[in-house]
Amino acid sequence: MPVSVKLDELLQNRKMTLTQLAERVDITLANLSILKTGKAKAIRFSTLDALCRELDCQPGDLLGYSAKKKAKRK
Amino acid sequence: MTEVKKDPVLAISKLLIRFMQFFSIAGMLALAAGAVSVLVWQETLLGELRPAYPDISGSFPWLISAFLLSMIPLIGLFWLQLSRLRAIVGTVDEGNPFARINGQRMRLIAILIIAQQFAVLLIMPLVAAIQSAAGRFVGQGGDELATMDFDMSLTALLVALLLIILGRVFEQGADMQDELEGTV
Repeated sequence: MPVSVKLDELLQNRKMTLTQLAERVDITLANLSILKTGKAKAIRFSTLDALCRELDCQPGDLLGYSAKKKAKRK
Repeated sequence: MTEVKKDPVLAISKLLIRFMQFFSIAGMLALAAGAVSVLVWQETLLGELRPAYPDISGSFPWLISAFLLSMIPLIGLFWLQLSRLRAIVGTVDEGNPFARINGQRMRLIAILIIAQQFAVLLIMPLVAAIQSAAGRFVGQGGDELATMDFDMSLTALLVALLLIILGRVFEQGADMQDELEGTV
């Protein structure tokens, strides 16, 4: 998947753990872990909204795109 | 995966399919036994039929035996359809019917139905030979030619077509479910 979720980076910058974030955004740790490891196939606007609110960032800060990853997969 | 409560319709379907599978096997065995018996007691059979069919040919028992044997693969195909249907019902019972494998199973059932119909086409000349070997039928309403109904079913072909389309629907459903499960 050429789209990546930069949750790790944002959590590190804010010195927050995934468990803490899960409690704040009311999303299960399992689902956040799926998002963090890049296994998610899609993200809801409501999830994006909750994450941006708690991490005080823009959706663009949370998501990255790398065309190379797609080429690698092919 | 969604949890499905025990559904009486599913339970009845499963039971019915099992019964039909059992009777299919019993039917295949009966046909094989019948094919042998017709040949063993061919003189008795011809003797019994001669009053009604005075022109009956000596090849009649052999043709009947061949017909009974040719029905075995047809029932075998039916048994295979039932086994795939049972697997589909099983996934519905587990609450996970939208699996790609179910799409493939439906397509296979459709192919088996079409194969069955083509097998019927192959057997039709045998049926014609049986009718001609039986000759005239001397009944109460006068003489008439022996008749035997054996034909391709347009309904079966339509069901096959429907199953092919449903198979695609299930495959798309499986893709959609995958996507939904990967949505956070």
